[in-house]
Amino acid sequence: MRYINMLASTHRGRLAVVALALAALSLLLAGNVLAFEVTDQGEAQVVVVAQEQDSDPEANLPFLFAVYIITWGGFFAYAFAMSRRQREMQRELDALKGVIAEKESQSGDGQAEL
Amino acid sequence: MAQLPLAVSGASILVGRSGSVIRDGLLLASAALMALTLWMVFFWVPTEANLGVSQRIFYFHVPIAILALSSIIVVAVASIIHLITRGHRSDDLAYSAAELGALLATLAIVTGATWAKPVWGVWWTWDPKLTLTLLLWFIYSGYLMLRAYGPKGSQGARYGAVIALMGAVNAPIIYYATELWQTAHPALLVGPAAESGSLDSDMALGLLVSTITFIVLAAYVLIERYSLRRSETDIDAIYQYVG
Repeated sequence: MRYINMLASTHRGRLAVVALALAALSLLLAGNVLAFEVTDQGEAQVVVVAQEQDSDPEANLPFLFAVYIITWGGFFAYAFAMSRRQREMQRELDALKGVIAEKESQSGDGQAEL
Repeated sequence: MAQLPLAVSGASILVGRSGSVIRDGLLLASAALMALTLWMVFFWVPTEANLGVSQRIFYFHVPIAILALSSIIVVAVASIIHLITRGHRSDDLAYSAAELGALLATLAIVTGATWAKPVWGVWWTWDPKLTLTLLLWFIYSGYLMLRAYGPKGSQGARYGAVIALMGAVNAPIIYYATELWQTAHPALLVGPAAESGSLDSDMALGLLVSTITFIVLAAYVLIERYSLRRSETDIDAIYQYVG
């Protein structure tokens, strides 16, 4: 539970959970489509399914999966890169704030000494 | 010592708690909608008789291409607002939309090529619509390279606005390319120039749901990138303040 909370407490963690859930769902659905097509081909004319003339209807499945993988890969890679850059920026900002606060306190001390 | 710039001292470095709630809401909504889209695409929509399974690529390719075209319009409008108001936030939005647009244009070209291979037998052909889309990708790339390596500040934003306007002119030409030229690309199925009833009603509903899904996802990514860009701008302001 502690690990789940840790995962849920960070934005990156939530992104990872969503990405994994969608990937699992995609695989599940993809498996079903594959089975669906095979069954239809075996049982002949239960229509609605792909009826590419003179070609195997499943022949193009790798192209379909490639598109889904590329699309999801692109979006999530971009989201993760942004999430990482956001945290780096925040760290840099905190460091800068510290420098400014130090400078301001030093100038305040200088004025007090005068 | 001079006061810290208002944008920074106002703690607007990151979008606040309400912004975080909106972003999380969009992320969850896009995940739920994507689950619905996948279910519709794999179980609900009919398979096209001639193209077979590869036609299902359509439910990803078309929304992504629509968003890639829309993004350059957002970049151009935000750039014009920046030129008029000189506000940093509109420039931040333009830059963020350009980065997202570059991703979407890349995905549109790659998914299109992956669809073209089983249907046309080639990954790429110098069809007007494809070529103009590649030009859009170069426009996005040119914009981002100019902003990264060109003049900084308002001068860079002004030069970027010129490129964005070129892209905005290109966008409607891409859309109407199948009407203007003889192309191998399928005819228009969505938008103002599409013939009514050109798409099966179930396929149209599937496309509508997938388009909404990608709009929500793109909105989430855009807000994230905009938030990050604001941080970058604010940090630049602090560096200038510190000297």
